[in-house]
Amino acid sequence: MLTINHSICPECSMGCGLNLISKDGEIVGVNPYKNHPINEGKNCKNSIDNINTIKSAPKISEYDYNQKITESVELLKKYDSNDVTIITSGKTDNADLEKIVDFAQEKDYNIVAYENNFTKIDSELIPTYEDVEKSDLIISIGDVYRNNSLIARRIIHAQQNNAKTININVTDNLAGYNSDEFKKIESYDEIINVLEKIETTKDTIIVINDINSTENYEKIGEYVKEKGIKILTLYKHPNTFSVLNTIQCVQKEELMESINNSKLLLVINEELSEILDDECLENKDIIKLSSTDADAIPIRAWYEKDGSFTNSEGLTQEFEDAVQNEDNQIKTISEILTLVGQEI
Amino acid sequence: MEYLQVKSTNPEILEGGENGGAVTAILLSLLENEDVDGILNMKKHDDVYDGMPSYITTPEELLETTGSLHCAPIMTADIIAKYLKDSKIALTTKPCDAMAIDEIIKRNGLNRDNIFMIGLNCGGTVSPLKAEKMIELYYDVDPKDVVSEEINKGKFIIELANGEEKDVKIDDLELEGYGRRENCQRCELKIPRKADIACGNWGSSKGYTFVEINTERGEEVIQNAIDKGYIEVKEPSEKQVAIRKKVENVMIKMAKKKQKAQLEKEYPSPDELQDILTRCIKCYRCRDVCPICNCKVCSLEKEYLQQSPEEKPDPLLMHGIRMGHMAFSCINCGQCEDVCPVEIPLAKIYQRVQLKYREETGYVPGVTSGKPPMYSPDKEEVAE
Amino acid sequence: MEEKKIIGFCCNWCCYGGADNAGTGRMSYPPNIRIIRVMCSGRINPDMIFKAFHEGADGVFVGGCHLGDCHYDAGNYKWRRRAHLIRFILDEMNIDQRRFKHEWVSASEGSKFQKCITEFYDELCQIEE
Repeated sequence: MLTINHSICPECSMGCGLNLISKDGEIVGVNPYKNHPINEGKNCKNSIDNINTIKSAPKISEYDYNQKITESVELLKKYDSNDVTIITSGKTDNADLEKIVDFAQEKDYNIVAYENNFTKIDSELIPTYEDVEKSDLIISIGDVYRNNSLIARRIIHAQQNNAKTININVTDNLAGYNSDEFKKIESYDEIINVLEKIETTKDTIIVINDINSTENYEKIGEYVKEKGIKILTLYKHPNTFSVLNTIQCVQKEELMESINNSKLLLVINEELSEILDDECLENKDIIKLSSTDADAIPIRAWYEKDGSFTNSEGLTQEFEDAVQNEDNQIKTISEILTLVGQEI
Repeated sequence: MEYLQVKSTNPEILEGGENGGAVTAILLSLLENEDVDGILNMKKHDDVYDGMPSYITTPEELLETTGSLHCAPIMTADIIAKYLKDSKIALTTKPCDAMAIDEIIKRNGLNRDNIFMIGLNCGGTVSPLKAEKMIELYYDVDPKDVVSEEINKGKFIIELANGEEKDVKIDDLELEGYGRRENCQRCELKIPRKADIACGNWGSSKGYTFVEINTERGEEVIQNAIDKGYIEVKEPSEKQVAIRKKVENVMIKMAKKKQKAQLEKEYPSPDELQDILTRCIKCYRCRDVCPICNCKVCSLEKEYLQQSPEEKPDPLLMHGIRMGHMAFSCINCGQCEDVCPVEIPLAKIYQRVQLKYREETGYVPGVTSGKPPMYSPDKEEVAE
Repeated sequence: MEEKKIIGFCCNWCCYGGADNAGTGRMSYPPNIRIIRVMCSGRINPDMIFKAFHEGADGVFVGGCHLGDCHYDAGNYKWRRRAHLIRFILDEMNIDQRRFKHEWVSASEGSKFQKCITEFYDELCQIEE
């Protein structure tokens, strides 16, 4: 049976709509969601690549949780609560995120997340996507064309309204080719010096998707405040905005330190091997919940459950189970944490 | 029996249908008599701006799909070619869907015997978000209050929950950049004659759907529906046939005018076009949604045609090659332009190339029968 | 002035023979052409032409059998339709149509090959001036 349902793209924090085509309980393709106000049916390469990965990955719809949950409970009981660290990411939707935070608080566990050096930004400094279209000077940092094409589209609209555009990046990139001015820098450590030299206007907006350290990002934040302009950050995950608001987000070194100081890691929706060397995970007990890793305790992916993500503008968008497969016995993060919580 | 006026005998269908409810009634007859496994049709999802392609297997669901959805510019041809190839299905086809299916069949992507095409005459579709804005601006109505819409006599008409109707001339809307999608404005095919039957309201008596029968199977389907009591029919007068022809001709003439304007006068200069194409992020969405693109292995992703992400993109290696594979068959459905995240006027570029190819070879994609497609081994005499 | 580069796709059965014929007959033609032998003009697709232009070719020449002489029956008919399309695409992509040329040359037509390439080369030299 072929069904098509609305969903939200799980790739970056833009919050694009997407119609998922499923057949017999499995995702088979994408159809444009043409009346979604953020992207009007347009999706970028990252989004489609993500769906294609899901399409080709092996599916499970049954899993015996009992043993794994008993094992996990034993591990959690074995260690002192301050030896346990929960690591999650912006891939987790709002309801599950809340559950994780509650769980950590209740049991007094540490909780951290790594969100590519970004930290929380004052909400009054964040423009809406429509503001971007109305801006007269847009400074983009990183390749926003290739990585966040749907914000690039807003920048193109601004250009059509005669806005000036500047791109700052450490490499040649598509955003640079399509901006009036391209400033290539050696390292993002120079970023603030480059920004200081730009004559900003009242409606200037910085659009950023890449930075090398929290320190530099916070410097940009200070600069934005000082100049009275706005900054829009495109994060790597769909719900990073909420994560930044609820969890302490750390840099790589700090993450490594937290891991070193813990004995048991509860990793939820995060791939540590993509961030850190495997070495620092040696000799650690790890409980991993993931919808993509076959060795982890399986959880429902975003498209198999109802939920909500908060995008870069701070807009929370609900989405529904796009597959509606009644035979799917896989549990959600909240369900698993509830079971574990009861046992401890 | 070439032309008929058709009316459904089912009051529920008549109530929901735009005219005589012929489309739903005939689909219902196909479904209930098990001539098909299922039906692919547009269904209102959240509101009139949210048409969703739905695969339907029960009469109850089918009845939810009555009435037109002009704000759902969805291509159904590639959905059936990709996901429903092995089922026997009926589907409603706008002219662009019908042209696409014809081109897909030429590429052996579908079996014509497996599909019943119920054609819908079409003057054009409207982008849903543009429609909402336009209704706010020119109708002074909250777009959420609109319960149904239709296009008739050159006007875009909306109906509100309280039964009130409001209309604005499409020409006026289009002058302001609203109205139909640009590719629809340029579209020359208004009646899908490759479909088994083509349904519409041009020339029809009130409460009837005007049906043109194009194939033997179309005739059978109609006869069956009459015999089983799903529809009643009457012959249109000569005058009605003439009116319909006139409407069609006027629209084709308009489309040609728009082609001139959009593809020549307002078309970007070669340098501007190069700048626009530099935006291309190679997301391949234009290819993904293109109903013509049917290859199992795509040239665009071949190793020797890749550039590094730091290099300035060469449009030849993306859109040049893409056009080399499909532009001769471009049916101007506009899906590529709809999904392009960086607003490249793809449909215009492709249609320009197609029109030149058409002039040289006489090949009209999705319409011409008997002319060899570009890759065909047929030998034909063409002036050098 | 930089050397003009011409990429020539020649069909194995006719045009490649024609080039050979020109060579054995000591008919000189501009050395700027780099010949790539293909089995049939029907094997040449737009990708190859565009790749050649992308890599910096000043001109691209395609030589096939005369219509009716195709070793594989109809390859050159396919190519002819394709050539129409390529020309229109080049137009759209802001590349001078004159930089792309195709001709039917049989294996015995060494002098035709010589004439074609010489004319093509001269035309290319004029374009940029």
